[in-house]
Amino acid sequence: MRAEPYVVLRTSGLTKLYPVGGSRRLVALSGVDIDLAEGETLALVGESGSGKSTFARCALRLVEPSDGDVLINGRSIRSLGALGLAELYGEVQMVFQDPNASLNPRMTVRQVVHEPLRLHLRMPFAKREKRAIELMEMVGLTPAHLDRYPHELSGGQRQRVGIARALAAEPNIVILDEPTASLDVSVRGQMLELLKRLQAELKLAYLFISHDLQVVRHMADRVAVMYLGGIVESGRTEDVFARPLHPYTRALLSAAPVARWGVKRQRLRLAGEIPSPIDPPDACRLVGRCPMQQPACTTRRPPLIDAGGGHAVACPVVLA
Amino acid sequence: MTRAPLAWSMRIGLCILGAYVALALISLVWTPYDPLSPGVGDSFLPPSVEFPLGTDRLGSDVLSRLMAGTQYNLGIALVAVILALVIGSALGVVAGYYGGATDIAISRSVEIFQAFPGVLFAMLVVKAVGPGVLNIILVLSFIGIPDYARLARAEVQSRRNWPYAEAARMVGNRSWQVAFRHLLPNSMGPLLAFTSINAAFVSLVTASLGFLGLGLNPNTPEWGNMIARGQDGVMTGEWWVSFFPGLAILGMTGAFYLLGDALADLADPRRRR
Repeated sequence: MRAEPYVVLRTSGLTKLYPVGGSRRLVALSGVDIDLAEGETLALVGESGSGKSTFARCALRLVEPSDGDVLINGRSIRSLGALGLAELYGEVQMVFQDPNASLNPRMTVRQVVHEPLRLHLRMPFAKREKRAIELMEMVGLTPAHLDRYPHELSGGQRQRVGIARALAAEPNIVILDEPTASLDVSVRGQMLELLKRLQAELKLAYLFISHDLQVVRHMADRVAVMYLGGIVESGRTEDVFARPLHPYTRALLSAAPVARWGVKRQRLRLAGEIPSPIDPPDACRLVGRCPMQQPACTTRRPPLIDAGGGHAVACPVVLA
Repeated sequence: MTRAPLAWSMRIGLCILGAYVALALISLVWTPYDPLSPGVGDSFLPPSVEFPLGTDRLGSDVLSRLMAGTQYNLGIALVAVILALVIGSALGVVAGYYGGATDIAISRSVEIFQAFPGVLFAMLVVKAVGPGVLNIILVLSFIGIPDYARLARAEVQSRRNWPYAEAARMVGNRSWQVAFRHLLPNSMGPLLAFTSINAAFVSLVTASLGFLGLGLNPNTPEWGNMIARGQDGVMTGEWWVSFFPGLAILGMTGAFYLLGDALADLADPRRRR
């Protein structure tokens, strides 16, 4: 037996419900359990609307979760007050999807990068300035960029500023919320390489949120597939991609384009549309869309079952 | 870094306002005659070289009184607008950012005060607490507060869940810092643009109170007072006593309107070139 790797971020039963008029509730997250180990990359994959971003925000209490708990570096964040949360954000940081919207348009890059140094690390100005220059170089920008406003930078440069801001606080966990989704294809590759290099240098644990399967395959050690607010399959990246078990994962993988001529793909198609997340029944969320559906699928929601080797799937049918 | 050229309307507005400021400053040290003393000339002298804008019923020099009046009308407008901007925005930011019961308490009280017509409210209050520069400033800023509060609230509320507000929390800002240091500066555009409209309104109400005899001491060379003093003359041909202060009010109100977006522009780095 190997020693258990140190878990830096663990969510247990993280749930988010939004009231939508009357007693009806929209289930954005239903009992999500995730373990993120020191220095690893865990990808959270799913379609838009599957609850990936809500998960990230609930795990940081940027949005208050309805139920469940989050342990960050072993400490529960559930009962933290405003001051405790502000301190917590020194340990876990986030890179946002759209650097356009996540940078204050009235702040220069210097102000953006100085802020976490001032508030989290309480550095005096001279030290902050020195560190800001180091951070600029770390993310592939130059000290001259410190005087620019966000609107004077390209999309890629803005995202580098977003990364520098996240790293300034010296966290050991970084949540990457679709960090390349709003970037041109030509700079995506560079950004991913930058993130990989920084992870190796700084021993960061990444929670990598994405809908792009190619990117996930390239970046992640482990993958968790999310569908309608719940995890349907998780495991090591190579296992999940080579041997997807859950019908939803299979459909998702077979829908991704293949960049090779003559490769025949077996496409698994799901019938119909994603069902409404408002007041869902206690059943598998794929009921009505799944080609492998059994009568038992409609009676209760299947939990994640270990399929061996850390590969888990929320479908008793494929394991039977 | 240079700024985008301002539109002509704004330049004209700024020039006129600059002229008023200059006039107010000059009048502090020099006016052609003593604006407060009657009988520096005969009564109702028409404009001439000696009295460029004529004299009023009491034989005071209209030009001297007009210059001295700039101090009152401009000063009251500027102070009242700044007070209303600061207090109203602060209330609006708190209501918009914290929401819930705080929002309801602030928004409802603001709406109650907005239900009164502003001019009527000002008249009532000044009548009750008595005239005086300070009272007029306070009541005029009070009338402006609801508008600023509503504007600031709407702006902040629409931005509070933006990623940069979340990012501001992540870098260690407390909630009041997010609200006042990150969201308020990004909401200043509409607020500053509104100050010009508000300043025009305040100048008009100041003059109206003076005209109705509710403002300052009747001998104070405030423009509304001056129009009131000259109103009998309008019918009998001595038009200049009321005309020139009226023109001064028109010019100042117009200048504030023309200023329009200029202030909003100056505060926004994205609008610089």
